[in-house]
Amino acid sequence: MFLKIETFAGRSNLPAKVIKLMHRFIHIIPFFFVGLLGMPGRVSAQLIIQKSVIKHEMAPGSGIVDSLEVTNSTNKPLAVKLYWQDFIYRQPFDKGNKEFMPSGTSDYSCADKITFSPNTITLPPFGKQEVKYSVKVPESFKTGCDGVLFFEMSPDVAKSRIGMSFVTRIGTLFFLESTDANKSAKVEDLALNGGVLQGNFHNQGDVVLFPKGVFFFLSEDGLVEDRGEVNKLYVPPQAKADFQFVIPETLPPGKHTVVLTFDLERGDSVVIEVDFNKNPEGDINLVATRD
Amino acid sequence: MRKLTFLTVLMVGALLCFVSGASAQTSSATFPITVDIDNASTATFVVYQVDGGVFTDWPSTTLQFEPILTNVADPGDPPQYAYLGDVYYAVDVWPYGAGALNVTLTYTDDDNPNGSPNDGSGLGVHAIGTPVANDNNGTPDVYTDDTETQIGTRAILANIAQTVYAADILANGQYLRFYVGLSTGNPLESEPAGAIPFNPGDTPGNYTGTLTMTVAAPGP
Repeated sequence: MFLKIETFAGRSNLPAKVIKLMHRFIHIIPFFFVGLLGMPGRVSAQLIIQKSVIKHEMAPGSGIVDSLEVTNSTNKPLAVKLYWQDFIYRQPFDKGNKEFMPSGTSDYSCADKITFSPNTITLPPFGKQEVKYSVKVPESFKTGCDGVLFFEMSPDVAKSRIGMSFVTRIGTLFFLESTDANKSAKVEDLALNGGVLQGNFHNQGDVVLFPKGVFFFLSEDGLVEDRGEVNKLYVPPQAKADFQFVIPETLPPGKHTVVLTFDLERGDSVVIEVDFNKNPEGDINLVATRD
Repeated sequence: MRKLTFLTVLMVGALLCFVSGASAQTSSATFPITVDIDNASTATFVVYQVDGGVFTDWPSTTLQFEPILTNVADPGDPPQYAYLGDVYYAVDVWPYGAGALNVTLTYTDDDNPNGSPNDGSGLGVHAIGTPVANDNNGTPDVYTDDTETQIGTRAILANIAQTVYAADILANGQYLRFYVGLSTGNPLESEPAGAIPFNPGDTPGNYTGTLTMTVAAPGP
């Protein structure tokens, strides 16, 4: 902003007094914006967390020390409380729906493997602070674990006779995965219902999986006819997640194969092939499936 | 001889210029551009107190009600009283992140003179929450004249626990608005099951609770 004004002043034929006066007002503008931001109630909480998800792949017995930054984007001090909670994914597994639980209560809790500091922060206006965390996993760590570090904006202390405190919190999700973890899954219960192919993604391993499926349709002579993606899934260990996708109406009658691949990361994947037949009336019948 | 040498150098130079010029015209360079976006998350919460349809910025994080004892009986019927809320609240939520964030709503009673917290007789059954998607389509910079569509479940706060998927809302340029108010008992309001207005049968005292909005990413 100041650079533009200097350029303008340099080219201008305005008297020096006028330009000097403009400069004086220009310096007031930032304060005007700050004043606008400070209007009561307009923004009641503005905390920016540098990382919404942190994922570490760790060898048994190893450790990591790292940090993340939190920023107060308002012109007022912001008191923030930090604490850990567990969570588990709940149905539907295609949207990341979670149930948050007290620390150390889920089957795959990371609570005893992660420490962080500090526990409370008072961020100055437009201030930043680093939150340090350290992870240490035991030699016996052969699975995965998760949890969430919450940043909670402290509510007002005052309470009315009838009323409620309004608490807001933003979470950073943590996922730890052992290099020795068992990542295995299977596609089950495939069925054709009208023009829709349905199935279950069964996580048979001991880490939460985030498979994103891609598929393509092959004609009888091996040419790719169409392709698409299955919505990302969030599947806890041993759980099954439903998926489905539509078979395009544009496919001509005849034999077709759909090849469906779920990427499990780290080079692991689940692939299944489904042969189906489309008759001239447009009816589709499942012929065979192959892993 | 000197002249010949000069001419040779001149020709070689001209040739080099020609080659390099031709080369400049026909070759191309590739400059990869990488944008690394942090998977940061943030959410903006704006609270309004709504009184008689007028939205006023509410700077506090305590949503307070001053219910008024009101005769709610039909004219001609014996008087029947309830404590009706004088105001209600609208909380606008803009969750932002690399990838859409989910907003989870939960509520717990704190003080309940009728019994113990969360036993089905506290503020949780006297107050109602309604999540709506606001289309942000009205007058620019005016957040009160937009079209709203109910999303999720309208419920008494005791049953409000649910997650609203920002991906479904923000993809359409909408944002989440959450209304909170006291039950009126008015059948025309189509209040959710279990909603009970404060009435003279309630034990006098402080009825308080905590409404929590949690913003988190769906996953990696």
